[in-house]
Amino acid sequence: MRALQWTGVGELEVGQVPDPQVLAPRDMIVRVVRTVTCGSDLHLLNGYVPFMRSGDVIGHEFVGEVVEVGPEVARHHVGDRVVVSSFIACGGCWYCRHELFSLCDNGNRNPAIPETLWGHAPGGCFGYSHAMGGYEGSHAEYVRVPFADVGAFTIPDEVSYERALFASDSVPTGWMGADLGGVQPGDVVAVWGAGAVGQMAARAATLLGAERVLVVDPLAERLDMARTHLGCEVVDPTTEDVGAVLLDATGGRGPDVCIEAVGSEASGGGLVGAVDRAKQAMRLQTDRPAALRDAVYQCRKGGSVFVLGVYAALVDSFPAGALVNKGLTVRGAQMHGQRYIPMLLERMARGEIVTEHLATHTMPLDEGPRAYDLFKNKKEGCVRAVLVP
Amino acid sequence: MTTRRTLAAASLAATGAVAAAAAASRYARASARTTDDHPVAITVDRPLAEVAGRPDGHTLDPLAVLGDAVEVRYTTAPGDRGTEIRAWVREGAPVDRDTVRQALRETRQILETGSVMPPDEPVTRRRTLVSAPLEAAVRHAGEGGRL
Repeated sequence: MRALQWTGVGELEVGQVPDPQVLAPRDMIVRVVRTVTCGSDLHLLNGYVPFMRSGDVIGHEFVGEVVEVGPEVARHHVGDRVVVSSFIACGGCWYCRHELFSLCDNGNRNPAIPETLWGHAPGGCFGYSHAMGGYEGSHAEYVRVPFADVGAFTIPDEVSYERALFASDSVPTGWMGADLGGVQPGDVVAVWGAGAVGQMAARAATLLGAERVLVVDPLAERLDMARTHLGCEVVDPTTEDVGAVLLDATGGRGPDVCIEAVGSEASGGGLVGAVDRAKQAMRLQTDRPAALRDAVYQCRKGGSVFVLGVYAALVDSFPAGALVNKGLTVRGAQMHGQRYIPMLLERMARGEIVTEHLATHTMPLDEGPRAYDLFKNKKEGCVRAVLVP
Repeated sequence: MTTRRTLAAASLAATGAVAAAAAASRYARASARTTDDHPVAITVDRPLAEVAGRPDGHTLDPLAVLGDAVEVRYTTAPGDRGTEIRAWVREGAPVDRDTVRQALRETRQILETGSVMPPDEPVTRRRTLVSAPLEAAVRHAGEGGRL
């Protein structure tokens, strides 16, 4: 079959790879109908997650049709339309039992790598390096889905593939930020990053009852989306003083919940941001946390900061003083998709969550390298590029 | 991108991997200065009776293969967290901690999921000059780590 392969830092190719097989009784094979670029893929592409081997198939956010099921798959049948959680979880460990699916004890088949790097191993993820299990990704004609009854969900008839696609990762990630960030009715919420995840975090905050939601991003077209499609207030850090805007919006308190949806390749940050870029280029630190620093700094006393952006390992100049002296709660996670996807599909069916506007570009799988060029370099207003195998 | 630039970029990435791993392992060493007197331990989200009380009276298969080379003890984990399994390698036994670690991981997979996860084997990957360390890490990814 054809697949989009990582072949080196900054290099992608469409090539031929073996068709996936059912390898375990709980596996199933899905014909990929839509698969989409994600900002976290750029960390792989740019060499900041150095656990890739040339030829690895990338992609982790996808929908498709079931074409084969293993003997112990009970909930799915050939022909089902499904959306699949990007994180792979077994459904039978302590973490899965407590709906912390991305922390699954059995989803990552290379646990020694993340245990060495982070202390303990999270679950697995499709197409996201050997540190996350070395699974083949979804930018392909077919994909093997382990623990299919746990991670795949039938798409309601009322929901199109185009809308359901983002229930695979972006929407549950954003929802988790607002939910576990503790958004309450009446809160003022600030979201850093107006990509798909940031927009969906903002939408979740609104649906959870936030009084005001402000989205911070330097890209005008993304701010337009947040304003037009989500009804959010927007802040452009290239033309506005973010701190002043947030203080004004909160009567001087600062946002109750700050959600960081930018990750390890943040832009901006002034002089400290420039130092970050230099240190990252020299591999003296792995991540640039400019948005995270700002979220911690701007958050109100006793408030909550939730980190959705992907970080590989180490950051410098973390504002520990603000964390302690303002009594903040800082939390982060990869997304517990299995916990949220059924509810999100229902909301999609009711029209409470729409995602079609995120797919600014749709193109054949063969144009995968071009899709990532548009996406990485923010060309033509690209927010997300959808690939059709 | 030319081949030369590709290699340079890949080398840079590999250097980053080593730096990150070295930094992370510093923390690991600082927080886990174990000796071989310490057991290899894992927690399984199943009750003690299900884990230790096998009808045949034997330990679970991946551990049973190790026979008398290891001493295995089971205790109930606190707070509804299942069962803690600790395994000590007997002095002079012909197995190492890596083997025990793998056996414990497989034991947990069998008890919690019903089977052992297929390994991360190279299906589509291409071997490159700088991929050898990662290949080695993947080959031993079930045996290494911090258990």
